[in-house]
Amino acid sequence: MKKITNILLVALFINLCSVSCNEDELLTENPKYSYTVDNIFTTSSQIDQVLISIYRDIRIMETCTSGSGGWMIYLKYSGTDMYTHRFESEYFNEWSNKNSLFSNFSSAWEHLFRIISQANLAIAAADYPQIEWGSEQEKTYAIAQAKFFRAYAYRNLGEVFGQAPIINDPISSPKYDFEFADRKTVYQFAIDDLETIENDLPVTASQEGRIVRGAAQHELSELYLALGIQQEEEGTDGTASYNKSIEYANKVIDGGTYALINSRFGARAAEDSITYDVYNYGNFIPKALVGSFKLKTNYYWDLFQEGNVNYQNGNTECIWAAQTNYDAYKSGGDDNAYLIYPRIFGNVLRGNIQGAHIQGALENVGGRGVGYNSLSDYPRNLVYEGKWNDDMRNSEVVFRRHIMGNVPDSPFYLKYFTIDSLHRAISTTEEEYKMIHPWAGPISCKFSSDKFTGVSEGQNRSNLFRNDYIIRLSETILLRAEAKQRNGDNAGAAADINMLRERAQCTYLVTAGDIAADANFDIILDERARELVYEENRWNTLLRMGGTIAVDRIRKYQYWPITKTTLTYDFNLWPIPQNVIDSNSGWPVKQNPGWENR
Amino acid sequence: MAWNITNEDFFDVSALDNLKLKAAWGQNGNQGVGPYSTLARVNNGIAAKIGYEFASDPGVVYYGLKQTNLANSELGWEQTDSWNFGFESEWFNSRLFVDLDVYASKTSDQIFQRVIPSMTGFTSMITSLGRVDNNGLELTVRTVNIQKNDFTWSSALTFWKNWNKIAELYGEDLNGDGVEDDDIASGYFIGHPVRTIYGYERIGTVQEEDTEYMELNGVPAGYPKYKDLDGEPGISANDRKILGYRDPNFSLNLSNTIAYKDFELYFMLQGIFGGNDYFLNSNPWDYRNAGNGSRKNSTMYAIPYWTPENRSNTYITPAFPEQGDGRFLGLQSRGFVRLQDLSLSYRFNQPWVKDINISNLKVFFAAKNLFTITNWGGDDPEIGSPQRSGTYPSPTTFSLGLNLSF
Repeated sequence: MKKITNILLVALFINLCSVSCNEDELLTENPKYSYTVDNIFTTSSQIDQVLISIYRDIRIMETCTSGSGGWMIYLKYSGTDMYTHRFESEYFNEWSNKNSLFSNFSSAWEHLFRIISQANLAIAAADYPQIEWGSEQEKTYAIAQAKFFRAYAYRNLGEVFGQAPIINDPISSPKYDFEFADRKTVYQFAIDDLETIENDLPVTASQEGRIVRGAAQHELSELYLALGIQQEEEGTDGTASYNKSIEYANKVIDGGTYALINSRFGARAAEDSITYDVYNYGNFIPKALVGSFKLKTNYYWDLFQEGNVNYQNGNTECIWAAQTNYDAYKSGGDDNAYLIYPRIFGNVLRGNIQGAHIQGALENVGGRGVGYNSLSDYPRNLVYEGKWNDDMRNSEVVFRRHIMGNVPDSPFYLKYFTIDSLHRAISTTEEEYKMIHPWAGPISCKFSSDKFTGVSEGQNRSNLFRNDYIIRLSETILLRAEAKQRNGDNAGAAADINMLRERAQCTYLVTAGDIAADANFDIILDERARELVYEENRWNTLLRMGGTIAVDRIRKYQYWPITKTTLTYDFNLWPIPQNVIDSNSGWPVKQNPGWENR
Repeated sequence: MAWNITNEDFFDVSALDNLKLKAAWGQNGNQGVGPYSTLARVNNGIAAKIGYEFASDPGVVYYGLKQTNLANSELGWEQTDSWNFGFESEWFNSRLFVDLDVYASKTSDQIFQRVIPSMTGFTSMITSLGRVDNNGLELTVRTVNIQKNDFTWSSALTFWKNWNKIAELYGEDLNGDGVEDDDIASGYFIGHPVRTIYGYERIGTVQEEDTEYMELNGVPAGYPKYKDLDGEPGISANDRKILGYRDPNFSLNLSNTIAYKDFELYFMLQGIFGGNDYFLNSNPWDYRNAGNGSRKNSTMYAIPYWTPENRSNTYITPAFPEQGDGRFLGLQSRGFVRLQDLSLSYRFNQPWVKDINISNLKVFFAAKNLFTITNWGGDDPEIGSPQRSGTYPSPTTFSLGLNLSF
């Protein structure tokens, strides 16, 4: 017995020795209950999970998901020539307080680099030896999506911030001397990524909402256009880039997969008209129901109905859409699965002088609006002046300018009147009109509905549960039109714009001569305002165009006088956030032009 | 280590009843961070709440996976070396007590959050910071001012001061000027306290005749005006400087106990003091009214805000944007003196108390937080929450009581 114990002791001793000899292994933590980037990846589905996170992060950016603060509204809309805020010195109406310390710039910058860092992690992890892929195709598609996302982030950085460090590997330890690449290099990096993976992407996706080849081609068209503009700004020739931009847009527009919608389709194709009920004071109770009005529907309206947005819904215009789904929201599994558009774009009729004539937050007024983003008069009225009834995009069912009075003592009671005429009637001075005007405006079918989902389950017309376009064919066409115009093909540019006009059944069309006379790209930008209102990332468009287009248009079209008095400086990029400059102390970052001494 | 010097034979000072000298040295370590927090952890699964869906799989929620932080394998234990000197003394037949403690401590590798370039995908990381020194002293003087048969009055005064400073940061010289770099991004400056405030020096309010300033900075009249430090026209990031410190300068407590027959009165005044740019905190809403924005009346007090007629250099216009300008801090001293405690008690000593077998019967009235003298315009200066921060004010409490024991 004693002998056995001795042997055991010796064995134990040897064992201890061998452990202590291998100190590195002993000291490396391999936690059983805490996952790290070093031990999490065991199957291919975990790589896809990283991609899922990015899909979600892009939805935050593109749909301004409320759970993550208000900065996305800035990135997409606020402060441009098209959108304003109902309080004069709030948001981007006011420019004296915009500088490199303004936190929304850094929020956008950080968000884009989070996407890049996750994409780099997915790309690296896809090659880990322990990962078993179902097929080679599964792996190439995973990498292709990750590279698409990285390019998407760099395209945004290039357009909005210009310069940025190029990072194509996961970062495992902090670094304080990131070298910044210039705008052309940033664009080129995104282009290279996309061109490598273009053919690894499927033409259509089996899972609705995944990245398809058309999305990469659209991105490439935009990137080459942006690159060409930057080349010309720097005094070199942009023709080759513009040609590439047109080539990639051609693949999308003429490739046979996509086509503009020009007939009724989808879930509500059979409804010739829709009915809005009117309740006294907007009280949603049966005995308050006092009236209704009907609107004639059309195919442009079909494009923005629930269940109609994805390509798989028969929507040949949809290239990429963010997914939001009521069941996913209701289950609690996806707390961001809704669009906050009725709130951020909708009318505010509570507690102000309009309340004497129209009240509530029902379908009649567009839902429960909070009005963070009102339209400036430019997309609201100016782009339709003289052609009010000559554009499906301005049809009542798409861009409803009327509401019905629901306050019994009001002269507007049960009258169907335009919001603008109400504002005129209740203002005694021009100043009063100016003050009330941004509180309510046209109700677009892009942000509101005649049938809000979930009302019987407690939803209060604050949210839409609809997929939402990130890339729609109309924008590809407008990119191509711009590239053609920049390349001197005025007839081609006019033809592209007229594709959208004709589809919207406009009789007013563009000629090559109009394009030739338009040095400031007003025709393209106006058409974007008609076709892509509430959709395009207007900041990206304006800043991508370079020169002084952004500041000129902001000064010209912004609603409030304070914009003109405080935008005393010129810029065509956002400032590099100060915390980026401060923390990257090992490589001096040169602040973007216009912001150096602000 | 302590030495009661009055016990020594050679010591003979008649006024001094007792003197104890103390000295101590200590070293201790502190892990400072939670388990695994130095690793590059990930959030995953339902609990991480990174949900997304694809319309082709109705009702199915996919869950993402996200790295939560950067790894930092170089984190070690915090180590603090501290020296402590002092004495306790007793004078004039126990009428005066003087205690002094002086300490000097050096903490190496203290764990901090460092702001890192967001291009890493993360905005901060846990890191250790070279060395932080804390030196300070605490002095307590207790006196028995009057001691008669049925009247005694005693007082106690405590003075405390701490000097906190960063002695070394990360040992980096990234800008190559031969001197160790400050960490502007995180707000750490060598030779200054950890809780330093860095920003723009406000020099008043833009008045209507400041046309040059307005034009240069695109600022309307009524907005805060800042000092241009770098000589370049226009207020920019180069015009930032160290504005002050969040830590108190020193604190003083004074308490008194007065007993007359069976009555006893006790009160304690507490003071924490600023001065020399210490004990500052941001309180922007004390200088403005929310006028243009959505909450016109949400400031706590009526404020004589700036107007073209009321050319204040303290207040600004209500039209100043709700989100601020990233620069305006509205720094205020939190220094205050407060009557923290007041109590009055009466002990029943009459014979009837004993007769009914009560060993102790006392009634008292006590009040806490009776009044505060301060220039701080937010809630309780001790807590330091500024206006509109949604905190409850510290309550003033009054209590009446009865102590009864058998």
